Amino acid sequence: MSPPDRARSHAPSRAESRAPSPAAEAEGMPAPDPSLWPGAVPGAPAGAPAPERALPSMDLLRNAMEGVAASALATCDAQGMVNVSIISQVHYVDPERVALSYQFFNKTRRNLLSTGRASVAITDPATLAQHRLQLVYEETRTEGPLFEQMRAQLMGLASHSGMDGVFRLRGADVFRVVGVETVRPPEIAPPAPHRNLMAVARRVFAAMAGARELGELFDLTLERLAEDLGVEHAMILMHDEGSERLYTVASRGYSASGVGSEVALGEGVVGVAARERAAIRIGHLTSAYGYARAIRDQAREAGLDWDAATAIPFPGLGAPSSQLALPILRGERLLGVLLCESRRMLRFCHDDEDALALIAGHLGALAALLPQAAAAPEAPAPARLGPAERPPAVTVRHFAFDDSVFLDNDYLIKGVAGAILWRLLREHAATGREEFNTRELRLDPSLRLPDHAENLDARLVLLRKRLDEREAPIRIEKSGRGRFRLCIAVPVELESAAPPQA
Amino acid sequence: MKRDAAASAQAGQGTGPLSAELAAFVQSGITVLIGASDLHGTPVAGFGFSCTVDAAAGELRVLVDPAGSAPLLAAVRAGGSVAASFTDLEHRSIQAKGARARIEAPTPRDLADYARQSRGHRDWLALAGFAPAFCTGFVRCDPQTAVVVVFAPEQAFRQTPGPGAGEAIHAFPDPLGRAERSA
Repeated sequence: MSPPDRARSHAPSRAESRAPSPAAEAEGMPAPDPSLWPGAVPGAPAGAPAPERALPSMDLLRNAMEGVAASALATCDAQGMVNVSIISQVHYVDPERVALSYQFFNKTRRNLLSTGRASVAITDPATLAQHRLQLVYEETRTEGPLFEQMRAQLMGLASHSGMDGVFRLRGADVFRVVGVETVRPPEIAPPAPHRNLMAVARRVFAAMAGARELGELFDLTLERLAEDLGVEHAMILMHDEGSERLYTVASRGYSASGVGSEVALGEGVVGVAARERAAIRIGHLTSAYGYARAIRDQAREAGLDWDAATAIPFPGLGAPSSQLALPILRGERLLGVLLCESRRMLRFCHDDEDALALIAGHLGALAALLPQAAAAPEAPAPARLGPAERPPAVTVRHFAFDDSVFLDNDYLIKGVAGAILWRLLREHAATGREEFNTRELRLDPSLRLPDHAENLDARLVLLRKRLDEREAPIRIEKSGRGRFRLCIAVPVELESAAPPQA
Repeated sequence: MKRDAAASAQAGQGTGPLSAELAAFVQSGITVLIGASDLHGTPVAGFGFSCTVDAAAGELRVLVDPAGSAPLLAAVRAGGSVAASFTDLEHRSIQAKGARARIEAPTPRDLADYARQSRGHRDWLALAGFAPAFCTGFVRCDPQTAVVVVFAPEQAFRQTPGPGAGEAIHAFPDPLGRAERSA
């Protein structure tokens, strides 16, 4: 193949590339003259007007931006002396932008601040296609979704390459792509895809539509992720707006369900995805995004047994090689997080992220709609046990300071779900009442429920699952639309307790 | 051929700011990147395939595939500056810069070095976990069409991530950071 055939170029459009860069100007950068890009059109002299031609979307090149194959970065100082270095991270931002990691104040950084221009050469590891991107600096972000996405990816790459403690993201430098050239066309046929992700998303949506209540929606979603997308390890956590924590309501593929376990906002990939309302994806094992398991172990060693006693272990894989956490949103409001994990490196690519983001978004929409959905079939009233058949009593202990509930000496649940159970049991003890409805709970100020309907429903799902998992003599059954039944198989003694002293 | 024989005898020697150790490093079959600037100060990044140190001439010779390198070669022809970066599997890295460069056809030694270094680089990529087809393809360059970018390295810098990255090599007793990496 002759050089001109292989060097296909895409020049920036005049309108696009002449647009001033406020961020660049704010940092004192000269506005670059895009007509000076060399080779934007093969054979065109430098300074010649570039023809109107659309650049290819960065969507099409993002397989080369997974941090798998190293990239080349070139910059120039004000005197025109070039600097070239190897970089591990060219991050896809949107169809017109990429970002580079700012880790050290080095020559590259000084050149960028001086001239605002860069050139990167990237390689698609699956096809060997190589492209050169000509870039104009726009801004540096030191916090927010993009920063956290790049930080997560960088920590994974650092850990994978033995550079823990060396790589540290100081900022995400955002560039507009003003030129794209094919350096090398694809030479390897990409691996045949296992599935059509659009068709999968459509099938999963259709299956989710069959859910009649929130708990079923959660379980069905995880089941379809495993069956249709091959995501064997996943969980759904819902957001408690009061405590700024997330609690697990469903999981699949773990040795223990972990329902009821909690993650703080900002903790691990789940907490960061929740805080930033952005997908966080890591392709390599890293300790930088561990959860509170270690903290709890330390607390236990230090004698702080209360936290240890009421903590349900987080169910995630001990050493996941890939993690993808997607916020479940309704508009701007955070409902929860869908976490997918794998023991395989680079399991989740950009396309997987897109498909799973669609599913997480649909989950958020359905979660908000389900309380008004058709009622589940009514469960028949349970048969009452005769006195001779009744097993020994269970003591239910409630600690008001955190609404934790213990069955005999075993921790069951805390927080709003614990408060709900305690309220139901007290009312049952006082009146013998077994049938309840969600409306009265929603209106009960003592439960301090947030305004949104799915908050209560999610907590009832959590409570029901915890009771079922423990095979407790107390159960909650749905008995009709907006109604549920408290089923108690043994005599119950209620005890309000003070927390033990640390 | 006479010049090639002389150059071969000098393969173990350094050149310019590069010591004999660094000369061996840049010819050891590792990742070679190349960048150039045109006369307007516009950077162009690209991939190199091998490097030959011509100690007698005091020059580095970076093998480049002209396919897809038109802007880079145009910048070199126009008299712009050139830089080459060399990085191994352990992230040890240095960069050499020259104020200008020229483009030549590869000599037999350039091609012999390419053959040897590309094998090493291919094996290195395989060790890093890349698929065999990628390893073989990534280092492949057609010797019939390859060109060499030749420049005198006037400056050289340490690029190994960490303390000292970006320092001029002559100021560093351990430019590749071997002592630090093994510590």
